[in-house]
Amino acid sequence: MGMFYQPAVLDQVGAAVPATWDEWAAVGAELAGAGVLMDSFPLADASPFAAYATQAGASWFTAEEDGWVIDMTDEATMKVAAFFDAAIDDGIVTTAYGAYTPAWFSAAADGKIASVATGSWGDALIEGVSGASGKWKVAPLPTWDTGYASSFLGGSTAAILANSQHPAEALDFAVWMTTTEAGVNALIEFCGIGWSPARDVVGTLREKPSTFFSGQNYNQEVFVPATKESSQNQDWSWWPVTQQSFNILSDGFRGKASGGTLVDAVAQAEKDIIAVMRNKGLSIRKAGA
Amino acid sequence: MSAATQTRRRSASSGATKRAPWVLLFPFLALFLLTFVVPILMALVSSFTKVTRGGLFGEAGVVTEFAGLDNYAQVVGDPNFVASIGRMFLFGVVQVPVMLILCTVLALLLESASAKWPGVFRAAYFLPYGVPGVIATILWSFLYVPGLSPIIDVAEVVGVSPDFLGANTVLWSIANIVTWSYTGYNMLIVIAQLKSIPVELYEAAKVDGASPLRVATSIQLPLIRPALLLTAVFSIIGTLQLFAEAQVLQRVAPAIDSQYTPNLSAYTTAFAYNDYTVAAAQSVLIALVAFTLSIVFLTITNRKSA
Repeated sequence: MGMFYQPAVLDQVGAAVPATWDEWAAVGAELAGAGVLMDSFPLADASPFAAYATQAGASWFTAEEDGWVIDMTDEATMKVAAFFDAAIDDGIVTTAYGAYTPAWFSAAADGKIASVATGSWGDALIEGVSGASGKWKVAPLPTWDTGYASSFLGGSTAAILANSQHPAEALDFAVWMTTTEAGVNALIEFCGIGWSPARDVVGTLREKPSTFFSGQNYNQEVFVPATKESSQNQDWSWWPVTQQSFNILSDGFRGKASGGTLVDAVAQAEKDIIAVMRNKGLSIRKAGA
Repeated sequence: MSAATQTRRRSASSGATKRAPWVLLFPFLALFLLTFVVPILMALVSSFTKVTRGGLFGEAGVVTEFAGLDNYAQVVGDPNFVASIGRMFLFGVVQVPVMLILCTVLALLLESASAKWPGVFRAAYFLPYGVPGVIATILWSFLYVPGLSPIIDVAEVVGVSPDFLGANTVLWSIANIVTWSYTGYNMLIVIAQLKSIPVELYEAAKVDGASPLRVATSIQLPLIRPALLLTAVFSIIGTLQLFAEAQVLQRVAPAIDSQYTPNLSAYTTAFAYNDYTVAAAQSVLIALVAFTLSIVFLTITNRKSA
């Protein structure tokens, strides 16, 4: 992940690019005074929240011998939840819409939203903001006082289905597509996305500065360092009912609009997710229990 | 011709007469069974089963077993699902009367003697029904989304900033779309009934010197009652089945959660969570609620007329 931002908008309040989330909140408070939002916080999509918690060092699920161990109410997650509770209350972020919705594109084009913390794939979407060429740059994701330099949001996978008639050939193709210069270049050109899992291949296009992003060589400057093993939380693992868990979490987040808090929503979501896993017949226990 | 052959022929032809309806009915019955009865039975059966899994991802075995009323207990115990039914109840109590009054007024106006170009207006009012719910919602969402909506832009000039997609308002934004879509359709049903009123009644009213308003209240309204009951029951069932509008508007309205309407809830449970048995229980409950509400409505209205 990185932080895409509009330098001209930050300049309105004379703010430097924030390196930590605390600085981010301080800049956001100044922008809020000028009627500009720092970012959006989607109540309807819990994945950015999960990404921030991952960055802070959370590890919600662990696979043990006796089944899953859940820990969503650890210190890192609670810190992130309380931080965004405050950011929402202070009007630093909007909850009315998430990034890349029609309302967001409109606000971004009007300079009413200063930045978006998002995955490397956000570049292709930001290029869709009308009249935005030369107005955006990219900085590393702000950091917490714990955890890691960056995080990850979204992603895609190349899978071979069980009934494939040529599984070996399909595997060869998937490896070629995701790890060779030619394959990754084709992914960028024809799909617009695809960060190579191969350490040394980022794609020819991503080695050069971008005219759209003010001539910044942002992939080399920001995203290559962000993909380093030490920049990412390696303890995070995904679990079987991810989609449902995120829905439960976001259904709880929606309560924020009517006086609830993210902190309470996370605690309640943990209980609900345990029930859902048990209903599926999977074994799960709370960490430390 | 002997009496015996005659009897045989008659019995042969009566056998064919007996078979004929079944042969003619077969295409319908086959489709009816396959696409209606069997799916309902399968949903019923599956609503009483439960899938349990072993291991971290179910790799140690997946077992389907009889669950009794477990799924139903889970559904009824799910506050979000119960809330979605309550939400639709609130929606129906407001939206259905508004729509029916609107469609009746439009129908009476178009059928009144002084109406100009009734054919053009009838077509115009009916037109929104021709727009699929998904498209209608996309069209309306451009009028709801801040930054895109000309309505909000104009309102802000006057100093108000309406939030069409907020937690408390989005339900009525959906109601607006539904009313826009279906008023014309219901209006046509009412017009059809109005057209079946014998001309003699109007003539008699004219002879008695009844005003157009009096004609409407004393002749037309009582006689279109059956059409209004029909549209009301359709609307009650339609309200509980609300789905496309909420699902499409979800993309721009964070207030719409994954269980906003009962059908959306069943859809999410089945296709996002792969929990088909619980989704089946939800579907059965939605059908039961729709059935009960329709019966209650008809009983109340029949009692009133008796």
